[in-house]
Amino acid sequence: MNDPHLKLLRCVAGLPALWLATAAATDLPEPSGHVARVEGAAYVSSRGYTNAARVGQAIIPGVTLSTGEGGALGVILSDGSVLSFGPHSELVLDDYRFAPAEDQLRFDARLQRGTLNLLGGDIARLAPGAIAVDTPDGRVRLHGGQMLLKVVE
Amino acid sequence: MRAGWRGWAVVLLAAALAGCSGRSYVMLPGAGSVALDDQEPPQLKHVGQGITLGDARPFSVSALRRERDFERTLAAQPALPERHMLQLRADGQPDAAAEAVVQQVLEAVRRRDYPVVTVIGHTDTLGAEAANVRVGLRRAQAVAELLKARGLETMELRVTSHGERNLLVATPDATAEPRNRRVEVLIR
Repeated sequence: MNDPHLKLLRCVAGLPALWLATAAATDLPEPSGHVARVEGAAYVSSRGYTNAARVGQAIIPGVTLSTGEGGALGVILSDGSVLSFGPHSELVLDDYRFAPAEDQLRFDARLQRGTLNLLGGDIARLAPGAIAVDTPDGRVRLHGGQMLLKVVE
Repeated sequence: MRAGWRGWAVVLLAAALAGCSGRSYVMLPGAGSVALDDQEPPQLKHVGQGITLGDARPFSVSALRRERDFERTLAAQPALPERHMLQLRADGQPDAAAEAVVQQVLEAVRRRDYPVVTVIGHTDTLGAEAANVRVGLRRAQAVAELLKARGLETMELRVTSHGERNLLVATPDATAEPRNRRVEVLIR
């Protein structure tokens, strides 16, 4: 068992696994939040794949959140911001970063259709106006507290 | 004459309602403030007011309209995140009240189906910024260990530091402020 060749072989055999683990870690950014409530038809689309939303599912920047007929969805982000959607809604989270120590507070989303309830978390407190939601009819910035937004197609 | 005036009022009201309901808008259901198209200061500041996107004047949103447009949206709001605060003594250890806070955290975690816990260390503005990030992280790690030792069970536990960039009490740089030396536990 103490054969140095065997040790070397084990070490080398372990390398691809280590490399894969690192690759996976760099490919997947740290979650920005998670799905906290699902009712009926609600979906999370990321990297070209669309899945039915599940409670606990991770949310990452670039994700599209949507609901269909009768569906509703609730999400909590890492700064404590809370979002919920009514039926027939669609939101793209273009950019999200909550790292106060690195001076990074970003929340850029697009509500394409439907309704959004948004309670601002730490990002709204530390950088009022940093939470921006674009719509086909213009941009809305939350400077604090809670807002309700409806986009009519 | 009077009937004619009423007739016109009804027509105008109907036209206004039809115009309103067909357009995108934002409103404040509670305390808050909202700005349209990067304007400063925010135009929307009062509870119950709304503003049509692309328009300039806020209007009062009727309870009926709010319910019709947002009842389902508000019903889908998840349980709000809870924040608990532990103060630290000068030697960096949790103070006498910490044990009670730890119990509150454990209970809050048990109440949730899918608890995600973030332990965040904070410092005051005394000392170098980069060093304070490390100090905040050490404080957060100490509290995370304490929570685990008391039996914390969670789907996800994150330990992080905001250093001196997220003050509880605003102070200038290089200011000792015990209230800013704290560890925050966010349960969501």
